[in-house]
Amino acid sequence: MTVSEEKYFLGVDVGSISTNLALIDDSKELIESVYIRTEGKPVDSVQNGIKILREKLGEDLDVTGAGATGSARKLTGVLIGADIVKNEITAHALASLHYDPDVQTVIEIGGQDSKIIIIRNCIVVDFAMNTVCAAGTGSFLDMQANRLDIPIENFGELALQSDNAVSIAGRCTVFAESDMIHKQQLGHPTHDIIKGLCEALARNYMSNVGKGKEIRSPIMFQGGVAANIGMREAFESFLQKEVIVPEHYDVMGAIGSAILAQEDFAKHPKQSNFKSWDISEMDFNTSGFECDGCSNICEIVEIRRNDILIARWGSRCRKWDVID
Amino acid sequence: MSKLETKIRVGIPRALLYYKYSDLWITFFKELGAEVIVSPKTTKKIKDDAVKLAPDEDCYSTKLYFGHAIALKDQVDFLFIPRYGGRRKKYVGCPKFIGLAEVLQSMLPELPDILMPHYNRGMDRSTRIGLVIKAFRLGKIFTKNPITRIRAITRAFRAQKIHERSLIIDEETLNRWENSETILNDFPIYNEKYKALKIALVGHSYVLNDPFSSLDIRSLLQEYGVDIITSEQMPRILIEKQMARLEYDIYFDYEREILGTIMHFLESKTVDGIIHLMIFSCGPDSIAGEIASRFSKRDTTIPLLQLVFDELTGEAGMRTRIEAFVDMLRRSIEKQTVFLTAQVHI
Repeated sequence: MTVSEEKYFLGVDVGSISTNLALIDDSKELIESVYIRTEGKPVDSVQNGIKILREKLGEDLDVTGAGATGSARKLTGVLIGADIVKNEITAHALASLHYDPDVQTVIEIGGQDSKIIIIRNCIVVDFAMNTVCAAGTGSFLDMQANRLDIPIENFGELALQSDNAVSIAGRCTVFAESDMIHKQQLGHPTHDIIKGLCEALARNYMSNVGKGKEIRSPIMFQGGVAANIGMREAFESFLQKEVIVPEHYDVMGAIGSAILAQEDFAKHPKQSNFKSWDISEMDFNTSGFECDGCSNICEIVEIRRNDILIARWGSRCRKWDVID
Repeated sequence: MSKLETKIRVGIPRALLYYKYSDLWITFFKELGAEVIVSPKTTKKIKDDAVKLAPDEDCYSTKLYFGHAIALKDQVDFLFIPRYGGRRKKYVGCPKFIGLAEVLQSMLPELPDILMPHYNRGMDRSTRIGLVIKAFRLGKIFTKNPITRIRAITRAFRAQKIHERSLIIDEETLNRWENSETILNDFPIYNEKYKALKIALVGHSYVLNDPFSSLDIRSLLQEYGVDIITSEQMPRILIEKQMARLEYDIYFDYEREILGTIMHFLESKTVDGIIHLMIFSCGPDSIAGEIASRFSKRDTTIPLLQLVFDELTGEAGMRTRIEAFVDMLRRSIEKQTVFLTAQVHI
């Protein structure tokens, strides 16, 4: 327990590639944040994230409310004891609005998702998400950086060095890759290819999720891919408009989730479900089985904390559902 | 006793037009003394069988139809797969439905016999009398007694009429629904935290009523405290009114209902949002979808969410979209309410 009267809200955003945590105060100001890779182990990364955040804070602050978002939001919600579990579109929009109440367009590109959110008068009025195609998301850039043997951190800088972008077919990740190889073999320098790639991805994004949307300024660009200055440049040259990358672009989902928890508490004050900072010390165990009750053959997932069943889901008929 | 055991078993796949004409068909065959076996609700197994077997180019719903037929094939003496082109003079149904029986036969040679009467009022001038004659002839397989057959036909028509009367509402009922004086579907689960929302759920009857292909969107909306109306329920007169606004004639009958419903609510603004369920690779759906999205862009007051379903649809992504859409509607209402009260204080 802390002596201060200050209230703190925790937001956890677990996506395919990264896990982000943010702690905000009652006036929605960011106190501390953590950005780590999920590496396919959402449970471990939530525990690890909490541990790092705890160390960064140096003391166990009282959490008045906790929120979870991201593609693993349901699981995360159970692990941390979230008071509110909400989708990442709402979370991102709220975080953007906090940093710029005038924002009209939010471009968010994460590990496997890309989204566009259209905001008018501080209200989300339209959004779109990539459907069956992940071309142009973080995972793809990651892969290409790996292939070209360039640390992903330097990717954007390299793109800026080029003033002669090579045109790359950006419609499909696989074809973009073969096109890149072809251009390399023709002898084009790496930075021209990288710039071409950034432009192809921006184009692909605009014709995919951005299709038919009216893009007004201010435009905010966030999510892991916003770290790539080459991508920002590519969007700016495509849209012929300024694109703002907010300071905390990589943890906006977590901030939004914390804001949701804060708003929820302001409207309906109650004791938080937040487990405790000791989450990282607890023993979580997930297991699964196939239900043979009918020909739907649902895949059931069970989550145990210190060997006690805390959640179970996955059946269409919901007969197995347990939520702590 | 022996009479009961020798009942002819007729199998009807629970897919596509079953969701429109189940009462008509089941009553007809039962009255003829047949045992009617309807395939179970779509399951993962049915879907897997369907996707494995069906031609690539078919839409998801047509693929599922084949899965349902497979589920029935070993339990019945006949499969009932009508070659149905549509019931209106000017408008057509889906051309794929006319070929279902033959496509199935070409894929699976060892099927039970298929009853496949042809009816297409728009194309070959099939008349209502013609339909009665066809049904009368079809009935001969089950009974030679002409009176039983005539009775089966009239009772089937009556059952269908009752079904449609209870399904399709009149304008007065619609008004009462719009004013929250009545509920037309499952009771939404209300939560004191949330405001009740009204959403028009639009799509083909075989998508709206099949929880598997629509990823159970109706239960999801119910859980989110959303009160829905479906395009199937809309008064015909309002649909036709909207269709008259178009400079061209949409000749796909089912699409008229879908597009008409969307256009009606975009104009009347009596719902908070519209969700349009589309099926991947359905031609008419893609046309109606495009027209709908253009109308929605002209007047953006009522948000429209278009979702495309197929066997590859990820449940997580779909849920995220639906949840975000409901959130968006709810937050915009809350904001407006705050704004209005603020004005009152001034």
